[in-house]
Amino acid sequence: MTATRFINIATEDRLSEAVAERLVACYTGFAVDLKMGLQGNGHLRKNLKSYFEIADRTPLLLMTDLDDTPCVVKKLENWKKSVNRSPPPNFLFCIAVREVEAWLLADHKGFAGLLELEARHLPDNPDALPDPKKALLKLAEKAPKAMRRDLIGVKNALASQGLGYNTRLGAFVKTGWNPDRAAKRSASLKRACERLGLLYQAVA
Amino acid sequence: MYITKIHLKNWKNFRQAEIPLQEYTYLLGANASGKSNLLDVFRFLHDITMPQGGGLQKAIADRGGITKLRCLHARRDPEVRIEVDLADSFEAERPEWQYKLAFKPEGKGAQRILIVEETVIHHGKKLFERPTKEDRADPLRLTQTYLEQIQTNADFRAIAAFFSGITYLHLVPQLLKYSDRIGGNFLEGDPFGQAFLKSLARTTEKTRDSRLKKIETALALAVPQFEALQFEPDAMGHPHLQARYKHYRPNAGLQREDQFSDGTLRLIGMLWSLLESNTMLLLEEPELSLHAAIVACIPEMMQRVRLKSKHRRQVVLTTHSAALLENKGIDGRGVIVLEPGTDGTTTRQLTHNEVSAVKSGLSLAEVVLPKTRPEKVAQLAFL
Repeated sequence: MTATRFINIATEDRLSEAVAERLVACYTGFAVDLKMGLQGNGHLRKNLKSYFEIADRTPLLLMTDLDDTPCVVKKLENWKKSVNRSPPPNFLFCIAVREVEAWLLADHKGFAGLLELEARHLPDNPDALPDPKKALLKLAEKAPKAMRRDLIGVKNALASQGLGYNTRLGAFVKTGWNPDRAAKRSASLKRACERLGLLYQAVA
Repeated sequence: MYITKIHLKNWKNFRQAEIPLQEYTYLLGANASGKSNLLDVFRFLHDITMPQGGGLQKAIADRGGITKLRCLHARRDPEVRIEVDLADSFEAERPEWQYKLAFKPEGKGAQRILIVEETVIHHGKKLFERPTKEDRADPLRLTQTYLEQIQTNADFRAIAAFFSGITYLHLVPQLLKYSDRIGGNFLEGDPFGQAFLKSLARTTEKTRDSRLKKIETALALAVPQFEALQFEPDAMGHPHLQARYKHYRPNAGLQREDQFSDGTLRLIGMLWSLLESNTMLLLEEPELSLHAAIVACIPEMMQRVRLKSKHRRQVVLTTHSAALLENKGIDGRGVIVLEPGTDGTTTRQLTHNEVSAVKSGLSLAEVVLPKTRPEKVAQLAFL
């Protein structure tokens, strides 16, 4: 019997955390130990040095959104510059282009099933969307009432999403979302899956 | 029906306040900023209309008399005023009902508390305005509101019924666990959940079982090892709750409410009151004793419970919890910030700056909660 190998994850929010856990489960044999972050992008960047130190001992997956940074390489460089050392080999930096929502939209069959609409409404190349969350919410307008209310919220509400946004999408990530299928449409997800698999091989 | 707006004058911390309410209203503020005092105005309206032992004079006396109830910052004007707008929808242009009540000590003799104004307006039309001619001729009449009297509130019974359905919950687990040993001094309306089990016993079996079933489902998600919840009177007929936890021996995992954790009891109490069909629910810091992950679910849970039930409850809650406010789906229109100052507490909705921060995807925990931090709080550590 082989001993359990652990990985720690650091993500921006609950939804990214759910995605990270699913990817770890799909492409590695790691068990997730520490789940850090959940306070947005800035928090991850601020703690980068600590994450590097943790990764000296245990593999660590840091997942963040590209957001408005022009390109992935640039973002990586910017972040690394803020810490005075190079990342340890067991540190994996994954960037969703431009937001993790794009990765969900990339699974046409799964996501169309969630919103109960035809797959042709979904974007062909979600990595190219300037604002994937906005696109997701726009699509949700066509969804059945209960789903619409949970994702978008009530009319005129002063909120950026519905109360059930994380719950609904989190549940979808766990059971309905197929990362293999999604990776065919999202280069950034494909890269993340491959590198996660390689990290596991290297450690195990 | 909902209370869409409340206007206060000289009520406890508030010299003047005009507070719009939503289906879910979140009262945020530092300690002692007046959150509970604001909730108390709704309890006050409830106390006036209580079918047994209610009334204006009792409601004032229960609060330690008018001097305890009136704003300390009130200067010459001793009048306390409460004005409430009620409507079926928050989008309504004009309230369906308006109820105004103002009172003050009579300023001589026995210093009775007399009504200065009591008015009811229905769809913009005044049903009555007190003091009437008869009131002036017989000032004793001004010690009682029309609201509290069945003979006089017939035309606006809807308001009286709404107020009397207001419930307040701040379940103190220890009062429930040790209720036998503490003995039976029960407060009217049971604000602290001391008689929670009795109210469970009073509910019809069908309703009780259906509510407990829903609570059981929620607890199974929130409490590790929890399996089932039952209502179980003991041999003496005293009502009890019994929970079953996973255990390697069957039947060994049975526990009574006095063995429940504080968090489990508070969660049961909160869910029960959300499932009740009354009009307005006042929740005092629902986050207490609960794990942050459960607290984070409260706003969504409230919405789901409401969608499943026949009645729509309006909820006003106070909180200090970042976890509770982290859900970006919370409607910022329902946030009221209480800001204490030298002239009493003022209330406000979100500022333009805060609104745009919420619109661009930040949570209320990030945007508003830091503003309720006391300025010098860091020094507290150096005591």
